[in-house]
Amino acid sequence: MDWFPLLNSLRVASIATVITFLLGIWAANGITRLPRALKGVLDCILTLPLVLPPTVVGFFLLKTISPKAALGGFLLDSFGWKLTMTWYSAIFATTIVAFPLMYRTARGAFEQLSPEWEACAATMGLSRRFIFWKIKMPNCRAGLLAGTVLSFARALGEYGATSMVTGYIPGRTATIATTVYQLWREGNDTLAYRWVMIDLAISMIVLIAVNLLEKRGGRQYAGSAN
Amino acid sequence: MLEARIKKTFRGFSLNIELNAGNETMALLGASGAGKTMTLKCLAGIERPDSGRIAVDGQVWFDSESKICLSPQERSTGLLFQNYALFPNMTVLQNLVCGLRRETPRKEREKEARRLLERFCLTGLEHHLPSQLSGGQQQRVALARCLARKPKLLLLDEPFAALDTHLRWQLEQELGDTLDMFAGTTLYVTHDREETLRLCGRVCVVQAGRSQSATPVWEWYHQPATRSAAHLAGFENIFSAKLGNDGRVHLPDVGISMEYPEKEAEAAAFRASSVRLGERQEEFAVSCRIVRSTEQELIVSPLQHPTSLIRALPDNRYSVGDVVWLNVPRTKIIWLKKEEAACLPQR
Amino acid sequence: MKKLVAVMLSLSLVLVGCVAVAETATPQVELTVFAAASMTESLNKIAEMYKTVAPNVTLVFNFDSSGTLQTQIEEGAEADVFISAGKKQMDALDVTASADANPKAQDLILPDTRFDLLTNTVVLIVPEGSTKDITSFEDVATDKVSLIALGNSDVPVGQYAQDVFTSLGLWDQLNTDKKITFGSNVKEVLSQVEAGAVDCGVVYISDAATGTGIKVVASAPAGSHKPVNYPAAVLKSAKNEQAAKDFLEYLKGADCSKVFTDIGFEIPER
Repeated sequence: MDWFPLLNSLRVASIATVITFLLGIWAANGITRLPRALKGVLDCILTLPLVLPPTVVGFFLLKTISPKAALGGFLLDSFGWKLTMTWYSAIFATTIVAFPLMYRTARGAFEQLSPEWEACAATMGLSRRFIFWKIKMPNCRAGLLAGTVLSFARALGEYGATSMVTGYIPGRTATIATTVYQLWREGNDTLAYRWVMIDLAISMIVLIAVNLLEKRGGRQYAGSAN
Repeated sequence: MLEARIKKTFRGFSLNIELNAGNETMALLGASGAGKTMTLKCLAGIERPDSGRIAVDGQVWFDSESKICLSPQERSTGLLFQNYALFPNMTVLQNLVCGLRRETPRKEREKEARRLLERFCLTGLEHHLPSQLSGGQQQRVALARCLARKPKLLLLDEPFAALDTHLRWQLEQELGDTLDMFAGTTLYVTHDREETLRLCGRVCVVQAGRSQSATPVWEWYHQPATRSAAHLAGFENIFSAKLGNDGRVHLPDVGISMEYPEKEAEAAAFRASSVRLGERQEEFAVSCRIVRSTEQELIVSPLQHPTSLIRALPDNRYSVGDVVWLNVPRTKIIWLKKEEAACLPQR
Repeated sequence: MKKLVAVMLSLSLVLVGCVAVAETATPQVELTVFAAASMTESLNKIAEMYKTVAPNVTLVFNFDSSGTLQTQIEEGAEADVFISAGKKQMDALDVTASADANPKAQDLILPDTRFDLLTNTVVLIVPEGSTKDITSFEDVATDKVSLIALGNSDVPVGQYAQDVFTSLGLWDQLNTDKKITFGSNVKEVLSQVEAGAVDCGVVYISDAATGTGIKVVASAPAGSHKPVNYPAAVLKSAKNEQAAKDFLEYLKGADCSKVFTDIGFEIPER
C-alpha cells in the first residue's frame, strides 16, 4: 500500500498548523489595539475563509500564485519558484482555510482574560512583551492548544482548495482527501474505504484530544479571583 | 501630592473631574456608574483623557496641551481592583516579585518580596497560587504588590466590595494602618459611607461624571453641600427649596415656609434622627399622617401634600393613620446648593 | 426566539411554493441533456439554434466528465439525453452491451435510440508561449517535461491518453517519474495547461479549439488508441421521450454537423 497520501497529509497539516499558530496568535493579540472601526472590518476579513466555500478560496489562490498570475508569475520568473502543483502548494491552501479557527480561538481566549491583569501589570512597570509571554499566554494555554488541534484537524481535512492548487500527482502531491476522490472516480472502492477508515481514525483521535484539552482549560487555575 | 484635571467623553457619558490632594487618603465617593473607575484608569494611564492635565509630586504625567502622556509603566501608581487581579498562573511570591521587576536588581528582588510578605502577614503562603488563598489573603497580596514599587499615587477601587461584611472590619483596620504609613497620595473609590468615614481624611463627591469640591470628611457628613453629597451622607429626607423675595424660603413638596436670610438654597435636608413628633414646636412644623410604622422606621406624609414622604425614627407611640405634628429644629436643617455650584470653575 | 423560528419556517414554505408555482407556470418542455465536457461550446451554440427550430423546448445542460455523468445517471439523476465521450460509459448503461462492458446489466438507456454522434482526435497541447520545445508525445518522457496533465481513468480522454503512452511504451516510466497530475474532467486539464501549471496536457482537438492560451503540438499517432466515439442516446427515465428523440434527430442534421466540424470534431460513418 502506498502510504504517501498519509505522510503528505500529515506533513502539510503540521507545517500549516505551525504557521497558523504563529499568525493566529499574532493577529488575535494585535487586533485588540486597533480602533473600533478598523477592528470590525479586519475581523471580518480574517474570519472570511471560515465561511467561504474552499473552492472559492482555491479560486482566489490560483488567481494569485498560478504561474501566469501576478505573484506566481513574478516569483517564477525572478527566482524560478513554482507555487502550484507541488506538495507545498497545499500549505497555502490549508493555512488560509485553517487560519480563522486559530485566530478566533485565540481571540476568544485572550478576550476571556481579565483586562484588569493587563492594567495592573502595566502600572507595575511590566513591559508589553512580559505581559504577553508571562501573563497572557500561560493563562490561555488550554484554549490555544484546543485552537491548534482544531486547526490541525481542519488542515488535515482540506480538499477543495487543495485539489485546485496541487492537482493530483500520485506520490508527489496526493493527500488523503484527493486520493479518496480519485479512487472513487476510478471505481476502486476497496482502497477508497481503507483510506476513509484511516482518516476517520485520525479525526477521532484529534477530536478526543480537543475535548480533553477543553476540559482541562476549564479546570486550569480554577477558583482564582477572576 | 496630586493635581489632576480630567475631561473625557465616552459612550455618551461625560467625565469632568478636578482633584487636588496632598499626602492624604481622599475618598472618591459616588454612586455606581458615576465615573469613578474611569477616573482611576485615567490617572493610572490605562485610559487617555480627551483633555486635561495630571501631575504628581510636580512631575507631569499627562498634559493634553503639551502632548505629554506617560505610559502606565512610566508613571508611579499602585492600582488595586475590586477583584485584586492577581496573576493566576503565578505563586504569591512570583506575583510580588513582578511588582519589583522594574527597579530592583535581580538578586534583591526575592529578598524584598519576602520582606513584603512579612509586613503583610503572609509568611507561609509564598508558594500558594491565588486560587488557594482566602479573600482576605488575596487582598493583602494585591495590596502588597501595589506597594512593592513604592508608588507615589495609590489608587484603590472599592477594595472591600468582594468581601463578606464580617471579614471587612478586620481588614479595614489593617488597611487603615497601611494607609497611615503610606507616604503618598491615596485615592479611595467607594460608594460606602462607613468606609469613607473610617478610612479617609477628605472626600470628593462625584455625581454624574462631575466632581465636587473636596471637603473634610466630617464636614461632608454633617454639612453636605449638595443633594448628591447629602444622599451619600445618609440624609433620608431631602426636599426642593424655592427662595421667595420676601426673605423666606419655601419647601413646596412639604408645604412649609421659613425665614431664610441667605441668597442660595436649592434644597433642604435633614436626617430621620432629627425629626420630633408630637405637638407643634418648631418653625419647621407640618401636620402629617402616619403612613407606615415598622421596627426600622416611621414614614409620614404631610396632610396637604400626601404624595410626599418624610422618614423618621421608629416610634411605637403612633400607628398608621394617626395625625401628628412633625418638627425639625432649624439647626438640624442643612441647606444644599446646586450641583454645579459645588464644582470648581471650568478652565 | 419563537417568533424568529416561525418567521423562518414561513419564509421557507413561501420559497418552496414559489418554486412550485414557477415550475407549473410554464407549459414549456424542458429537456435535460447530460453531455461530455468537451461538448460545452458546441452544444451551447446548438441550443441557441434550436430555439428557433423548437421554441417550446428549453435545453438544460449538465456538462461534466462522462464517467461522472454515468455515475449520476446510475444514482438516479433525472435526465432525458446522455452524450458520452466514450463508448465505455454508454455501454455500462446499455442492456444490449456485452457482459464485460455492462457487468451490472443496467438498463438505463433506450438502445434503439443509440448512435455514434461524433469522433474526435487526441492531441498534445502546451501553454501558449511555452519555451520547452515540446513537439511530440515521445518528448513527454524526456526532461523537457516535468509535469503533464491528463484526465484520470474515469475520463475518456484520460483513457485514450493512457492508451497512447502505453503503445509508445512510456506509461510506466511516466508513473514512476511521477510526472502525471490527474484531473477529473477534460476542462480541468485544459485550464491547468492554460494557466501554465503544467508543461503539457492531452485533450481532444475540439477542446484545443475552444481553449485560449494553448497550442496544439502533436496529434496522437494513428492506431495508438481505440477509436474515439461519442455515443448519444435517450435515457429510459426520460420525461419527454419524443422531444428527446427529436433533439437527437436534429443533432444528426447538417446545421449541427457544421457546428461540430468547425470546432474540430468529425462526423463518423453511421
